[in-house]
Amino acid sequence: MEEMEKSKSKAKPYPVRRVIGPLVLSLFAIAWYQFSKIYLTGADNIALSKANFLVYVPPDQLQGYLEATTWICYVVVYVGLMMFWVSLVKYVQSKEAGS
Amino acid sequence: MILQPVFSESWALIFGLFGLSGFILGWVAQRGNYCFVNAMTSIFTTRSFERFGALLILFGLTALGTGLLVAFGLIPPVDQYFNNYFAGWYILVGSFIFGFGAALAGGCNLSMLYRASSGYVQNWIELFGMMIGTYIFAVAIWPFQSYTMENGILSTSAGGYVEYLPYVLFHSVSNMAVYITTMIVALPLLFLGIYLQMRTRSKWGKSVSMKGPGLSAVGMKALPGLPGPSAPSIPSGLRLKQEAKDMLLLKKPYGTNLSTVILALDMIFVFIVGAGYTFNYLVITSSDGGRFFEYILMPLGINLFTNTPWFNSSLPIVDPSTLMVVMLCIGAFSASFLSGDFKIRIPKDRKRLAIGFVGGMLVGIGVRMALGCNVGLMWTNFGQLGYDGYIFLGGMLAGVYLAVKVQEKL
Repeated sequence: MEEMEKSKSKAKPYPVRRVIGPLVLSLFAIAWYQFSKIYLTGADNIALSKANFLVYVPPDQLQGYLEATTWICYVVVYVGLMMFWVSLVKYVQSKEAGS
Repeated sequence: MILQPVFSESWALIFGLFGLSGFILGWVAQRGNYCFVNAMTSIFTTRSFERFGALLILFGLTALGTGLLVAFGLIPPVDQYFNNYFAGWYILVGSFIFGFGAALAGGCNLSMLYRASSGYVQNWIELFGMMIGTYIFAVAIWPFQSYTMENGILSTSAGGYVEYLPYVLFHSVSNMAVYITTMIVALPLLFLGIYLQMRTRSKWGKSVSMKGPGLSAVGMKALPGLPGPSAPSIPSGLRLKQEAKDMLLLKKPYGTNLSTVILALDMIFVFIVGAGYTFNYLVITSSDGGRFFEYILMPLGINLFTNTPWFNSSLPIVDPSTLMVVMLCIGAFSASFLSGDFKIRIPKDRKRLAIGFVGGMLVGIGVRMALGCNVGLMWTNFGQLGYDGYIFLGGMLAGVYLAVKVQEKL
């Protein structure tokens, strides 16, 4: 029985993509936040300087967007890191069982 | 008219709740494999109305929910008609191009996003094609289209309450006018959707019983939307509990109708959250094609909104739909990752990638011509009690039909 289980885990190692995926998600959230803070705020200032009020976002709305993005970034990064940790443990376990 | 917000929320909360709605949209669409184009394609290929019926139920439930909220005075009617678009030739032509392109590329705007987040490379290519298509539309088509819109050439030029169905039918936006219109719009859609589903299921039942008892179990299992063969010894209550548990643990995908109900509730949630702030600017997913193309170019110092038609007049730099689309992708990724579906999938036939790109370009051109996609214009417009959704539905069905015929020849 034990041997059967061993051969099963040997046949199906824990996929690496499941370890990397959450890490990519967390990095994406940080990158999105940084992008919003730097480029979208900059673009809004350009729109104001060109007096293009069709694309310009008023400061209270932009501030609201940045605040919401910050909180979402926190949540996604923490959840992503938790998922990464769980996947990493499973990956190491499958490697140990395989060797 | 002085517009009063219904609830006093901060902009951060509104953006956050739109993000949450996007997350739910992505999660449920991924778990339910919800695709508007597949629903329409299956009519012409397998003669199945199961998923198309679900779409009609989705539109009906959305119209019923938003309509009753207005009819009972909980949300003012202005929230339903404030951002109503002008109807015109471009919705019909755009939806036709969109339907054709999306069926070629293999996914509507919603399924493109959740499949791309689940690792489908073809949908990444489709998304990129959509960005290029949006740019082509902006420089080549938009100047002409906006000219026809401004001058009322095969186009209405009023928008707002003038194109609000209660006003069209009763020349009134009173609660009673909204109530009657809601019933006129929602009930036929609901009944037709349920009828089409029942007809398809009875057809399946007949074809399965004709195969004989030995094959019926296999046939039943292969058909989507139907409950699989059940052992007579398991009580139905217990089986239902087990199914619910499997769905919660992501072992089983959501059924079509369960997804439909959750998605309709999601739209109604956005309608309530945005009341007095974003008005009937509800679930929007097509702005990604244009806006995200603009975003990609920003770090290179190129700001399309400074000198490019359409980009300089049609989209604010950010709005709640920005976070909605980002969170839709995160929701779909989370659902696919946690259920074990996530995998980078490159089609073996590389021709599919080229078709995906061309289809994506047509999707980009189509959605911008029609002023929205199957979600932002068609589904949302049913919630707005407008009539653009009907025009879009007709055009999209025709486009999908043509794409099915073309693919048969290829």
